[in-house]
Amino acid sequence: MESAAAREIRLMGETGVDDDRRLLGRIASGDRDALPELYSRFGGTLFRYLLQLTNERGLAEEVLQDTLVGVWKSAGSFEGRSSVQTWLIGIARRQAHNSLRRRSLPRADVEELDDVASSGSDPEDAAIAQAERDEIAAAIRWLTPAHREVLTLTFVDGLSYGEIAAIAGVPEGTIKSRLSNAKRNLRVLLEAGKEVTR
Amino acid sequence: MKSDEVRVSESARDRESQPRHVDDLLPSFVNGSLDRLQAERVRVHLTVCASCQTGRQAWEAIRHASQASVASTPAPSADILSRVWNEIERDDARRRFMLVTNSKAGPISLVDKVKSMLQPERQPSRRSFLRPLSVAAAGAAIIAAVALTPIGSFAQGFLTIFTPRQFAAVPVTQAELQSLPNLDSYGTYTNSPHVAPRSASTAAAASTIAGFTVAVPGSLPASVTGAPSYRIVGGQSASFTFSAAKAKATAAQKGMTLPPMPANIDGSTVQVTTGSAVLTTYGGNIAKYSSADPTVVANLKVKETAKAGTGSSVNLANLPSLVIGQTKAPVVTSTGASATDLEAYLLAQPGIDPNLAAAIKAIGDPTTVLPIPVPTDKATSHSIQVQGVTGISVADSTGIGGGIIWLKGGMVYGVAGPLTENDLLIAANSLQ
Repeated sequence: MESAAAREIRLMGETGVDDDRRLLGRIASGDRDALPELYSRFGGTLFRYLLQLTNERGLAEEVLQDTLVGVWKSAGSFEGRSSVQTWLIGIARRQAHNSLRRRSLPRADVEELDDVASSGSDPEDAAIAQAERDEIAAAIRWLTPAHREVLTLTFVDGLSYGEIAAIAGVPEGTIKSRLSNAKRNLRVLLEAGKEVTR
Repeated sequence: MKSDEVRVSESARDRESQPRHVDDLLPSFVNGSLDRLQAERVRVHLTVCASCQTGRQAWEAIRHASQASVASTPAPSADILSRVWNEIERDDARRRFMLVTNSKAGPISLVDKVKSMLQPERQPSRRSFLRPLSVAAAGAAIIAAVALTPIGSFAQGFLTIFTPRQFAAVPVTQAELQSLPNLDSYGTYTNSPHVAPRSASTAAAASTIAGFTVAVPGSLPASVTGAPSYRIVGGQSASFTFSAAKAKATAAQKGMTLPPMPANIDGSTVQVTTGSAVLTTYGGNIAKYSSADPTVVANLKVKETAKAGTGSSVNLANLPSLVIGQTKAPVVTSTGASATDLEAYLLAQPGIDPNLAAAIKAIGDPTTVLPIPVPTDKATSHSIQVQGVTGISVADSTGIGGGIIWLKGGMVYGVAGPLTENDLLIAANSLQ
């Protein structure tokens, strides 16, 4: 049975979701006060995501700008099938890919993935579990954009597989594989780092 | 290379002989996005499976590292929102520009524009006062605009308070045009009531209605035949009152900061008054354009064919072969700010392309010179001697045609059509 506290948290969450949707509705109707409000709610998340994706501050800002312009123009097309945050990140992702394509930079597409098998072996997990946080953080920066993206969306933005799959436009199974492959590559990078420092 | 999905299936098969592991659920368990039932299942499994417990620890380590790696993410620049609003404004301007020039239709827009301007329902609207002179997409459009919609042509006129004595062509890109501020944000304006245009069958009748002697060409290119028709548009008046409070409030809504509006501009009302305009139109048919450059005719035919393919109703047989516009030079008055003050203030607004601002400033005296923006992707322009004064010749970049516009004796004149510059000049110089 749901506790009173849990119920309160759930209701608060639902209220937040409703607020976000109302905010988007105001943008769709041309309310100019609503866009800065949306930006104050999601600007940090979007910028962080874009920075991870592009690895370049100037480009991330440029894409953030394009994203907000896109939101202003297309808020009316939001159908409520996902959370507002997921919808926004999806727009940011498309804008980022357009920019990266124009600049011929690597994108977080599936073809960018390394050809490594997906599995969760003990030695791999143990190596990561025992590694220093800063070592792992450094290794994350060397991952492919697709792997950095999936880690950010999972562990920084706290999105579900379904939400990430909707953003990336791939099946949930692909997201699971990307996570698994990201972990495998992290272990490889951590091992390589140790060999270099030996 | 195997797909991710295939690898997942194989991985699952490999594990069929083992206890039911939960490693593919661990990331969502660690980030808290699993539903209650699945989370409970994982929790129970972890108490009995050392392998998955190690996996959970690995994902926890990755979660901490992921969060740490973004913890130092810098904030985006403070002016992001301001840049966003500027871009949105430019987009709006772009849409207005597209509406006005119908540029999707390409060079045929010259035809559409002239035709649309001949229609009474397309008289200057409230918005046209604000529009950049996007109608200058083609020479004919410029002429028609000056002749029929002087206020519309004064969209750039928000920079000037004057009785123009000279035109100056300012080549502009679309981006530069879009960078112009939307006057809506700076105050309010009013228009005089719309008066339906009238028609006349002779120059004498048109002169009586217009209140000035309508000039008629003494010589016409061979391709221009038939009797002309005359359309007379009554004078128009529009005023705009600047408001520092409105400008500030609008800017604040957009998260922008504007340079302070000088006290002599705040509350100042600028009024644009135009006299009657007469448009003399010679109807034509593409088949009759025998004296035009063969390339011009070929272009028209190609465009006609292309247009027919789209199901458009444009019929080039209705294309005017020559349009002559004539109107008294508009007068712009102000209750406070001078033309120089206004130009300085408006060109200092954020978002205005510095090249465009520099080009306008370079024209010099803002009290007598009217800048005519010529979109570089649609037309070319140069100075030309006509009727003993210096005018501007504008040619559609596809070679379809062009126009010549000049000021003389307090009157604005223009000729335009799908003709060579030489033919247009012959007609212009023969006006009397």
